[in-house]
Amino acid sequence: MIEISRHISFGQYVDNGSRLTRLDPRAKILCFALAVAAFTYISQFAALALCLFFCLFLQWLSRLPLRYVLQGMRMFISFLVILYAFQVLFYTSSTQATSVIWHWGVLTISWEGLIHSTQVDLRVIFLYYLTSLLMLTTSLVDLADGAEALLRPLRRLGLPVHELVMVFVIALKFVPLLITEVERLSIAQATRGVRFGRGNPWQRIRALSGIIVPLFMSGLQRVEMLSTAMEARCYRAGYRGWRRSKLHALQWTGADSLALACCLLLCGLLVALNFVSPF
Amino acid sequence: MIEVNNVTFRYSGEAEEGIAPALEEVTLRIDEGETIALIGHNGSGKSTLARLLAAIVLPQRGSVIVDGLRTDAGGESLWQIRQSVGLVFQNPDDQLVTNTVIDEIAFGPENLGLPRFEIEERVEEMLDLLDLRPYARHAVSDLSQGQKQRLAVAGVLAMRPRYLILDEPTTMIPGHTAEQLLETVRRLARERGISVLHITHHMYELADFDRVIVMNRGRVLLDGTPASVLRHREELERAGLGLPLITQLGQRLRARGWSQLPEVILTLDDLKAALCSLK
Repeated sequence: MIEISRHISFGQYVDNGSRLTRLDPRAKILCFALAVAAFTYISQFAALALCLFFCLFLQWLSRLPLRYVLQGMRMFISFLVILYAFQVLFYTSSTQATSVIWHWGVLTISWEGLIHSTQVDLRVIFLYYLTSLLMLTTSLVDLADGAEALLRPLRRLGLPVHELVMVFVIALKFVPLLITEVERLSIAQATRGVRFGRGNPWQRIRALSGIIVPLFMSGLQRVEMLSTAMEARCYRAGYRGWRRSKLHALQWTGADSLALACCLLLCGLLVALNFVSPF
Repeated sequence: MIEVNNVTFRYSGEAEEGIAPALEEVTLRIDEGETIALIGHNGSGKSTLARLLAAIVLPQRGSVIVDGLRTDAGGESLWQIRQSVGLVFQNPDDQLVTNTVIDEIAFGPENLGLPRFEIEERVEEMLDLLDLRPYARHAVSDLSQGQKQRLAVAGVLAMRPRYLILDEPTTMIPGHTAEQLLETVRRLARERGISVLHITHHMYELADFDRVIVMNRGRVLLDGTPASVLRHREELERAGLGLPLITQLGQRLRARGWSQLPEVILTLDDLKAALCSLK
């Protein structure tokens, strides 16, 4: 519990000048959206294997240490393992034709349950990996600029696109800050003798409330301070006639078109493979 | 010039609870190029005064006028005041909006709608001025607390303010880093004619400022040069502020017969010089 930040890299950004980092954020967001849609659609193991190769290829392109990325996913995967156990034990088949391996009361382990839960969880891991990688290779400002450029047509419908994107980006910025805050509160509580992960469920919930309530309060305070600091630096979203200029101009290059084309091709392959593959 | 005329300010809901105003009938003037230390105990109204000067909050009675513009006039003048008066907060994590060093410095100039070449010029200038060039491509989360505070100052100075308000910026950083930061700020104030208002509760930080304002219970208790303010030992103690150790040492030596020593000694160098000049 105490060394949480070492096990979560979500929301961090590493500017190592890799090909992925240098891509236009619009291209990255579009590729990400396509990949998420395809990864969510597929269910066969052959297609999942192709996803794994795709993720490994992205990992190579990103030039990020694999250990760093995996360490950042450790906590999420631990959480997923618990979910996996529940999925398997409480799996109910829609066809009723399940091959049961073990059965006790309402708990059942079946081959179908094992296969289905593995497919679902593998997809979730790949989706989490894609999201982490997008954030590890794209700065918040690039992410905001890219999203704003892509969503610009919605402004005609009267949607405050800039403000919505800024809210989303600030929420992402708060992820590592809140993780550090949880770590700080855990240490503060542990030094007062609070033991996390021990005792009955009620005692565990009570121990966690000592973190959640102050975390909520400090989160609100931080949001208030940040909005004050932004206004003090002349950020005036919502004011008529205000136009921000940008330090970085978005530039779509051949590499971005190639990335998008490859991603489209991969998504097509994934869907086709999922369709024809028997397992 | 900033003029604070008979200002009273109370936070919402405090009147019903019978709490005294955060500021009561405060009148003062800040001239261009002045370096001022604003000192006071917790709850003395220092931070509220800073927010009033930066037009983050508005006075309920009296007026704050920055270079001829009233902070309560509204409209475009509010944003002109916020550009002229830069505010740096205690905790850099609360005010850093983006997640890379360059984007953070550019945030303010981008809000001003400056052309790209000028934003680039200001970013480059700030990287050198605040010694942030080695970290230019770093993520904000990788910086130390002292580096983050330097970045916060750079982000504000990039807007080229005429007045710089530092709200206890040295509280969360180690002593030598704090001293370096203050030295940099004072140097910039000298070179560029920026007025600096440094809010602190460390008495030893007063010596190098042109002027010291002491606040107590929402009112200005003392206002003058560091030496003239430190002569009021009893009033300072009543306001919960002790004299700096070096001043106390000088006064004890005087009490033990070293009557030729000056009544107020501000720095170790002053004490050495005074002792060496004794026959």
